[in-house]
Parts: sequence; structure tokens; C-alpha cells
Amino acid sequence: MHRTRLRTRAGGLGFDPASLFLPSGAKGLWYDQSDISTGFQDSAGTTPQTASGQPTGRRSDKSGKTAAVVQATSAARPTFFIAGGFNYDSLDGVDDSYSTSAFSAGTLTSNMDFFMAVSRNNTQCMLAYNTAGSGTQYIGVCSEAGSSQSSVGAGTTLAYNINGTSAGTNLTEAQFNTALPKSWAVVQITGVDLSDWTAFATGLYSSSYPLEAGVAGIIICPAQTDAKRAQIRRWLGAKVGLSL
Amino acid sequence: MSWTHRTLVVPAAYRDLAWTLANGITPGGPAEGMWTTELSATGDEPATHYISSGYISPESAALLGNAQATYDAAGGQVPLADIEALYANSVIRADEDPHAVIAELGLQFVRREL
Repeated sequence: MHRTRLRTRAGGLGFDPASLFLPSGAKGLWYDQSDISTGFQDSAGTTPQTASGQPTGRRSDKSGKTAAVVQATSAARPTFFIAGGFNYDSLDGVDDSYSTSAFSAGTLTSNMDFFMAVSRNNTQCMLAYNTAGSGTQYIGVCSEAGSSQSSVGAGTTLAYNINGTSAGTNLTEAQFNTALPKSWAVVQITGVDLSDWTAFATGLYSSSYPLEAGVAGIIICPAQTDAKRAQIRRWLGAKVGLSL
Repeated sequence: MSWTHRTLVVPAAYRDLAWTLANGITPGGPAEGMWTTELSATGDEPATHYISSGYISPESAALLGNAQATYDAAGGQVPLADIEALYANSVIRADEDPHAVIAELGLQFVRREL
């Protein structure tokens, strides 16, 4: 009974996100900052992270696609922190970013769920994008008064959920900015179409939308049931001290 | 490997020179990934400055601000006078919040509509 209760509360003890990517080959991406073995100080992946305060030159993908996010330029690497019992990559909101290598359109698919455990500090920012500075494919733009869609080139009917609470459908930049707290939160966006995306990145789409934030986990997986989505939220939330 | 944090703000006119030097002397990956973030006094285009902020090798950090050492490390590929001018017009800070440096310089991120 005790074990069952623990499993239900944490949502993580009996749930393994690896199951989202089975059978092997299921489309998606998974970056897990809580697993220090996925972090490397260099982009080649030869110098593992061993302590808080080291740069993240490479963060391995645990989905099985080997689509690590990397930053070849040392001065633009996020910094890995262990603080408050949490592991996260800190992006400075100036020039930090990391991205996958280019992949073929169709590597991701047309009906996906996007999850991100994030604590953003700045108002005008973007959670994720395809290719920096060009094209119009991005997810989760916040701005103070923006009336444009918060996510563009990523599906036509997107449902936003913050910490387990629905925030609405097809939010504008301003609406998403209002919904997303400046503290740890688990963002869930469903109905995401990434079938045309040829890369995945976070941090610096352009000078206009730098991400100043802690990132503790990103999961992009095929569309799940509501029950499974709740498990994913709880699993990510547990990584940053949220009981969802 | 140890790393040290630097914030580097260069005028737009000096960015290509900064890239050339950084590519020539640092083991820190492609310099074109540095100074990609645009700054101006009003937040409007065009960018008057570019900023890079993050961890670099101690060897690279030791060269910053020292024109002669940079000239030597770059193997003389850039005239010493040009390096002196770059440093005279740039801001180099150790272990400082880059956002505070931007504010102190009276600069803002260049903002564009998506």
C-alpha cells in the first residue's frame, strides 16, 4: 500500500519515460537533466559532467534516436547546475543554446506531445524552435503584449497545459506569457505537428527571444492518453519539486 | 577541464575581426557561435554591438585585453594596431551578470517581430 501511494504521488517511481518510445523507433526526443550521465562538457561527448557549474556542450537524447543537443561554441553553452536538489541546464538569456544536428523531415511526426520542465526568468522568450533565426517553426513564445500565436509551424490546434491545469487552445504570445510562471513549471502542449521540422533547439532563436531559464527535462513523444500525460507531468514535476 | 566566465561586448564594426581572432587562437569551437546576439541603445535595428557571454578556456581568457599576447597567439595574422583598436572599443568582464553589463552600457537586445 505504501509503495502504491508513493508511485501515485511521484508519478515517476513506477513510470519510465523510456516506455514512451517503445517499440524501438517510435518518434520523439527526450532530454533528461536529472541523469548526469547524459551531460558532457564538450560537444563531442568526451568529457562527462561530474559536478555543478560545468558547461553543457552536449546533452544526450534518451529516446533512442541519438539526437543529442549540442553546442560547439564553448562560450554559448548552457551551464549545468545541481541546486535545491534539482539538476538543470541554465540558459543565460544572452546567447546560450543547444540544438540537434539536422535530421530529415518526418523524423518527428504530426501528432505529438511536448513536455518541458522549465523555470524561465525573462518575459520575452521562446521555449523551442527548429532552426535559429530563420523559418517560422517554433513553440512557446512569450511576450508582454504579443497577439501572434505562441507556437507557429507546429500544428494548427495546440492545447496548452501548465502544471496540470489547462491554459487554453492556440494561445497568443501574451496569453502564454500570462500562463507560464517565472518559477518551475511543467509545460504540456498537445496536438503538436513536427513532421516538417528538421532539427530541434532551445535557447537562442534570435536576439529578440533569448531564453533565460533553467531546463530540467524535455520530452517530445507520440500523442498519449490523458492518463499517460498525467504520468509524464508528474514525472517531470518530481524532478523540480512539484507535486502534480 | 577548467573553464572561466567572460562577457565580451564588441562594436558591430569589430565583429568580423573578433571572429577571426577567436577562430585563430581558441580551442573553444567555431567563433561564429559567439557575438550572435544583437544589441543597440534603443533596441531597434541596426545592431551597434554584439555580445558573447559564457565559459571559455583559461588560456583564451588570459589573452583577452592583452593586444600583444593576442597578436602573438594569432601568429601575426592580424595587425597589432587592429587588435589594439578592438580591445580599446570592447568591453571585457569576468564573472559578471551579462544582463547587468548590457544595462550598464546603456544597451538593449535588438527586438524584431517574428
